[in-house]
Amino acid sequence: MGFEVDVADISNAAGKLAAGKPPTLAPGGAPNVGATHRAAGFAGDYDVWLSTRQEDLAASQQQVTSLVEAIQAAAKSYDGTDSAARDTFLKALDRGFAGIDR
Amino acid sequence: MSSVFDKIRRLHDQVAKGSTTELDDRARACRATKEAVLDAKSLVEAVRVQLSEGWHGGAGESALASLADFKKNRDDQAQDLEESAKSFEVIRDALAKAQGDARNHLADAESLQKKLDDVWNDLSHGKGNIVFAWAQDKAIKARALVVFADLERIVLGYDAILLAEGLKLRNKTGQVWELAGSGKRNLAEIAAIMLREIPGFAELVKNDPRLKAALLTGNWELLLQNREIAQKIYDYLGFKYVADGDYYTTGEHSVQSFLGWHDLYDKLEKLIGADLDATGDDGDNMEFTDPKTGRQYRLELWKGGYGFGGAFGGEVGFYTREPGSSDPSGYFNAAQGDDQIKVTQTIYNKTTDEVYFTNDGQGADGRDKKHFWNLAIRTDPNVDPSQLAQRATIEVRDAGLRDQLYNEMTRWAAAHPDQKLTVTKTTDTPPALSYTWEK
Repeated sequence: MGFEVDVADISNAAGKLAAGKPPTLAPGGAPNVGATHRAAGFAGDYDVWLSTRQEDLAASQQQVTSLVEAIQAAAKSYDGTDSAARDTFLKALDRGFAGIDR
Repeated sequence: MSSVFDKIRRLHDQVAKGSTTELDDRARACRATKEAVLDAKSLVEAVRVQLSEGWHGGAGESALASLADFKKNRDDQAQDLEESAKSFEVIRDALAKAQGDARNHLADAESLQKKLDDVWNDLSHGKGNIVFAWAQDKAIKARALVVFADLERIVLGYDAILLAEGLKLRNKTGQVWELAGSGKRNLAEIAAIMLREIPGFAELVKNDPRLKAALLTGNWELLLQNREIAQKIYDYLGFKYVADGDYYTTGEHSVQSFLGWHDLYDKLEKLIGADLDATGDDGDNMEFTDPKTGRQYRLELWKGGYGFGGAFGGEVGFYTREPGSSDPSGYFNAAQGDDQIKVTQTIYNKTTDEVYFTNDGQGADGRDKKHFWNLAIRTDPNVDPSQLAQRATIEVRDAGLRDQLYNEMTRWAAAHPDQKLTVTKTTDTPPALSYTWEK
C-alpha cells in the first residue's frame, strides 16, 4: 500500500513541476538610447543579450520537461522494483505455504 | 562648413533623441521575468522538498540532486536578470544626465549665438565699429568652442557607458544551457568592437601576432600587461601614464569626470579588470551635508588589483551633489572649483611598510594639483593586492570643510573597525587631514 502512495506522490510532484508557468522575457526591440556614435553598436549588444536570455529561458523549459520525464520514469521504475519485491515476497509466502501444505 | 553652433545643436540632438522611458521599460521587463524565474525556482524547491520526504534510494537521490542543480540555475538566471536591469538603469540615468547637461549647453550656445547676432545687428545699425565687432565675434566663438568641447566630452562619456554596459549585457552567458547565444557572443566580435571604439588600438595589435591572438581570444590579462595597449584602453577611459613615478593616473577631463559617481555604476571596473576594496561597499558611504550651502559631499577610497591582476594601486575620489539636484538618485558629480581637493596618496605594503609609489596630485589640471579624484595604478603582477594599504593627506579649501570631512571619516572608521581607518587633523594652514587605511 505504502509503495503505491509514494509512487502516486512522486507522479503528482512531477505533474506539479510540469504545470508551472514557464518564465518568458517580453520581446522588445533595442531601446532608443539616442543617436550617438555607440548607439548602433549598443543595439547589437542588446539583440545578442535578448536572444541569449530567451534561448536560456527556452533551455530551462526543456530542462523542466526532461526533469519531469526523468522523475516519471524513475517513479515507474521504483514502482516496478516495488512490484518485483512484492512478487518475490508473495512467491516466498506461496513457497512457505506450499511447504506447510506438504 | 557648419558653424560651431550647428555642431552643438547636432550633438545635443544625438542625446535628446534617446528615451529614458524605453530604458526603464527594459529594466522593468527584466525584473518581471526575474520574479517569474524566482516563482519557478520556488516551485522547483517545493517539488524537491515534497519528493525528498517520501523518495529515497538511488533514483530518488539522483532526481533530487538534479532539482537542486536546477534551482541553482534559476537563482543564477534571476541574478543575471537583476544585473541586466541595473545595466539598463545605469544607461537610463547616464542618458538623463547627458540630456540635462546637453540642454544646459545648448541654452548656453543659444545665448552666445544671440549675443553674436546682436553684435553684428548693432554694427549694421551703426552702433559700435567693425574692429570691436570682429573682436567680439572671435571672443564669442571661442566661448562657443569651449561649450562644444565640453559637450563632446559629455557625449563621449555617455558613449563609454553605452560601450561598457553594452559589453556587460552582450557577454552574459546562459545559465541553464551555457552555450546559449554563444554564437552571437564570440570574442572576435567583441575584439572588433574594442578595435573600432578605441583609437589607435588596431595599429598596436596588428603587427604583433601574440597580441592579436590575445585580442581574439579575449585574453585581457595579457593585453593589459602591454604598456601601450594598457595606455590605449586607459586613454579611452581617461587614464594617463606618469613616467617618473611609473604609475597611471587620470585627467580632470576623463570620462569619470562626466560620470561622477553613481551608486549603481562600478566605474568600468569590470572592463579594466579591477578587484578593489572600496569604502562604500556595504552602502554606508562617507557622506556629509554642508549645513551652510546644503551641498552634499562624498569621499570614496579604493585600493586593490587592476588589469586582471596585472596592476595594483588606489584611488581617492571626492564628489558633490547640489541641494535639490535633478540628477538621478545616487549620482554625485566630480567636485569642481574650490571644492576640489589636493591629495597626496601613497600605496604601501601593510606588513612590510614598503612604499610602492606616491601620487602627489598628478592628473590635475594646471599647477594647483587640485582634483576630484586622485588615482594611481602601477602595472606589476607580482604585488599581492590584499597586502596593500593606502595613506594620504587631503587638503581642502577651508578648516570648516576639513572638520566636517574629519568628523564623517571618524564616524565611518568607528562604524567599520575591520577597515582599520585612522584619521588625524594635520594642519589648519593649509587646512588638511591625513589618514591610513590598512584593511
